[in-house]
Amino acid sequence: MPRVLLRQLVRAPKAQRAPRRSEKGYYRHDSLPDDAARSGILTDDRRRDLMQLYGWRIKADYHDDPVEFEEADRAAELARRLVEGLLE
Amino acid sequence: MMKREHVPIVVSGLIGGRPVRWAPTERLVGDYDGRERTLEIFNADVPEQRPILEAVDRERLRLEKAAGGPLVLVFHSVKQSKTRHQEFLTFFESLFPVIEALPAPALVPWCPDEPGSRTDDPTPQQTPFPPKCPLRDGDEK
Repeated sequence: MPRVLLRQLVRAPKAQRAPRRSEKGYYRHDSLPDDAARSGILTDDRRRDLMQLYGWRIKADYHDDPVEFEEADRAAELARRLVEGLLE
Repeated sequence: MMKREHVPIVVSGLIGGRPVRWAPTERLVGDYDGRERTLEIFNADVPEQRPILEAVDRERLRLEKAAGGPLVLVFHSVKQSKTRHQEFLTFFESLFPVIEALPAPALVPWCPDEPGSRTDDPTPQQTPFPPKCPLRDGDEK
């Protein structure tokens, strides 16, 4: 998960911030796109970018099917766009 | 109210009848957030994945309510679906007559580039089960 996203989530005004945490204490990855959008950190389009990236990450690391080259290319593109949007 | 076991069929209906299922646990390794809410979507090449995600996302509130939390979407391209999941594709095809015999749910077909097939269309079609999307240039017959 991009550190810049987590940093912004931590700095979000408390009233807006209600990220869900896992039992281990970190921000849950599956609900993070919604939480970040609700906090005003991500636009709706970037929220969907993060959802899509999470799906590819799960496929790459936890599924027995491989991520395909085209998916990896697209993931790199979306990740770049997401980070650029956070740094603006 | 939608039940968890209906989610794959409803999602399939939103995305032009593509095969969809809850990811079988034997195909997953390790643990991650949303493991029990992972949906596999088949016959979805990369250019189609984003519009599919958007179609599902538009209905996410009722889908998440039925699923018990946020969905995790894992896509399989047409090639990967055919080479690694043919058995499931055949099984899913066999369900069509059963699904068509069910009372008509308010499903809205969705096909890329087809006017009037989007879920936000003001005059959605009501069909027992969405027909398959028409073949487009470049699709395999």
